[in-house]
Amino acid sequence: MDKNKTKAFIKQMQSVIALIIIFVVASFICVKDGRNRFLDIRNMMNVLRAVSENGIIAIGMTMILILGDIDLSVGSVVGLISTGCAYLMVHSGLGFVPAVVSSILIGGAFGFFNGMCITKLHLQAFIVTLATMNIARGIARFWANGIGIPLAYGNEPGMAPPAFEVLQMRLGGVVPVPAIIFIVLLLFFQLILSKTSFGRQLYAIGGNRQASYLAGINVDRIKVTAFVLCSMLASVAAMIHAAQISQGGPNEGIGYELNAVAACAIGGTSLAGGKGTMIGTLIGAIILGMLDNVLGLKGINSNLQLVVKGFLIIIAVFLQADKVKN
Amino acid sequence: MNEKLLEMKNISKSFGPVLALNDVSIDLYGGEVLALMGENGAGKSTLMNILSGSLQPTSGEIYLNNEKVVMSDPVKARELGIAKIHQELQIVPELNVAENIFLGRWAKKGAGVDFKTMMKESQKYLDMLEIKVKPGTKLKDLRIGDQQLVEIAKALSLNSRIIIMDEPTSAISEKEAERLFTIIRRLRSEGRGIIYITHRMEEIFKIADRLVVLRDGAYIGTVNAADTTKAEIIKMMVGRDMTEQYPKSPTEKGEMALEVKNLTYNAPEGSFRRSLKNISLGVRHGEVLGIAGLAGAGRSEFFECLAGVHHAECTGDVFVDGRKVTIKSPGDAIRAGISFATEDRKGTGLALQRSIGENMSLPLLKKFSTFGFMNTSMEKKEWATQFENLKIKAPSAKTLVSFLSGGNMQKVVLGRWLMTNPKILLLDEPTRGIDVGAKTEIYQLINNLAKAGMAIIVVSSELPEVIGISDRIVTFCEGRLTGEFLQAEATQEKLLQSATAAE
Repeated sequence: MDKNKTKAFIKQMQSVIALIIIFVVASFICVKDGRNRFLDIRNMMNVLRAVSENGIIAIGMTMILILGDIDLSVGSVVGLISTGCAYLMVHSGLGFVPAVVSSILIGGAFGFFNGMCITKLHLQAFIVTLATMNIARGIARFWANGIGIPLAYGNEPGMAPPAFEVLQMRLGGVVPVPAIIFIVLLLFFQLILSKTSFGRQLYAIGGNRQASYLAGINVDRIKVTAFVLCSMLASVAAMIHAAQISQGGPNEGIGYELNAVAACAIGGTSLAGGKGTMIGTLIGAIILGMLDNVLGLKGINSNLQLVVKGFLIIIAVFLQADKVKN
Repeated sequence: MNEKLLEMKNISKSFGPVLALNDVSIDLYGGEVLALMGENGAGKSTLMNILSGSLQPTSGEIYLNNEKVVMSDPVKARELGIAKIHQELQIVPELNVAENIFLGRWAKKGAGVDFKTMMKESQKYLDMLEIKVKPGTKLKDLRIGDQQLVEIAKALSLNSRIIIMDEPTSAISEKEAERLFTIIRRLRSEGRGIIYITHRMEEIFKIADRLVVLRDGAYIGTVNAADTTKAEIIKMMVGRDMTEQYPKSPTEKGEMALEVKNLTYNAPEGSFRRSLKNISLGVRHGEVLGIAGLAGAGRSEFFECLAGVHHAECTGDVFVDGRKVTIKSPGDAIRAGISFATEDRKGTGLALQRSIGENMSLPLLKKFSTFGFMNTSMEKKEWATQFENLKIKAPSAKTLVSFLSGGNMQKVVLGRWLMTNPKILLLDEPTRGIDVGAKTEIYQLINNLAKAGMAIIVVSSELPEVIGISDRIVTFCEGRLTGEFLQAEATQEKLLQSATAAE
């Protein structure tokens, strides 16, 4: 049994080891003209900022994957909510707090719809969210007439409230605000997973749905809650995204669902359900972000970057998989 | 005696530092049924996996017809005439009987498949076994017993000389088992060799010629079935005397704990569940009520109805301690004092990837948490109580359930339900597939719980067991309650008769 523990520990640390390797390699290969462009604090913070959006979505995705489901609609929710919050601020004249709250509520309602279709209509999450992925994207484009809504900050009509600009600022000029939001949310949801009865129920349902049901757990309610939280988190990421590019665009967030799944998978969350941690997801998201950064610094063709990333995901998931049969 | 078909010589197998098999030798002759006996973890499955090519031995040799062979993989083993019929059947439910029999070697006709020939060929093998199944029927539409026979037909079509059967009767009714034995006897008379693994002692004397007993990966001995007794086999298996297999002692019967009146359940069409008609019964505090019946008699459905699984399709009244209760979900049942341990530990009982403790706490998350946050010290105390109470063999409550043996898994399930402190405990096949030692512990536990005033209903397919542990036994047949016996008057013959007495 001790050996199992050691093995499990090494397996857990696998992604950390990968993270360290990528970090060390990157530190060496990104030196140009005597300057280390990777280890530069500004660059590090850029990585962190870039990781935040995917990371926040991946927090929600981790919960969904633990349940043994999947949510493919999060990328479209990013498009919908980034458009929506921009519209609410610029065209409806909503202030910072009302705009943020409405955005999260719209996102939550969307997740509620996902959850209800899955539990009450007994449909597979894959199919439901594949459909709602199109629905969200369509609503976003219809809402904004297919074009982005630029954000200019100010107090006049047609301008976004200056408070929203906080989302693209850096604390003390160094630490990006999105990164702080990400870390706070991550710690909060890690606490939820490991210390609450909600977390226990997520793992139990993902581990054995029927057994959980027979143990008196309200499976439907937990599932719906998880989908609501997942879409809400995607909405938070959407607002950060809008602030970062100073625009709410209906075509933003394409492919984000897969980046989120990739971060979870690299971090050791099982797509079969019942297994996964937020810390793993954090490491997965950082590995992905660092890789993007290094490949960018090395000036590698962005299409080739996709290829490298794809292979990395296969390797990571292969290493995480339980190879011992029986 | 016939020719020697198989000899496995000095087989050892280690998984890392764990020695699963230690220098085991067995032989098998044509025209005999060799029973392989041993508790869980004795090495039966490992030995058979080596024979069927799914595992490679660390050392040792295999001889077929006195010729040394290497079972490099399952395909090789199949070509050499070894067929294995797994406990969990290896069938494709969406394909028909003929397609399953010839799976992987469908008859070709040009670029397509020659279904006509396959149908005809399959019919031949089905006829040989006198199975009344049509080659065109999809496997998912067959009962498990028939699916098994299709696998045997497949073994015939492969012309297998050696057939390994791993607990073939664990999921089928006694009637189907009898039919299976007839077929096994026929295979034997044709000169084939059969290796038969089972936990059911009664079957050994019905079907086996010789027995090989393994214990902790080591060979213990071989005996002729005709010259041995159940007690002797059990002694070989566990290495100690079993003074009393069913430690039943009289208990004080109290007030009526559970009363069920006219429970009727209409199974949805197309489901494989059995409908129930007007079931009425009662159990007192301190009483153990056994439910006997064939597989598919509706016993599990009865439990599921009491646990609130089929609320929408159920009618009838349920009283707990004289008070009428409405149970709409498993949660309602638990709150009413009814706890239900299902027959399928892995399928419907436990989240295998999670820890023992987490699995045990599942029904009590509310009790163990304040504002949604788990109160771990409270749980840990309860876990420790159950660990001690049930003698769960595991390093700690943090151990993952998937590392446990069947018997310990069952104890975790029981521990969970005992933690809910139920008035009425429903146990569906509580000793299925677990070793003799753990079985006795569970019997003892049932006894102690009854003594403490709990009302217990046990469904069991093993007649001696159900008689041994119950105060009173009712029989189910095709969704009806067909008989009731006190322990003193119950015999296997009477119960079986009553359980097959459908109108």
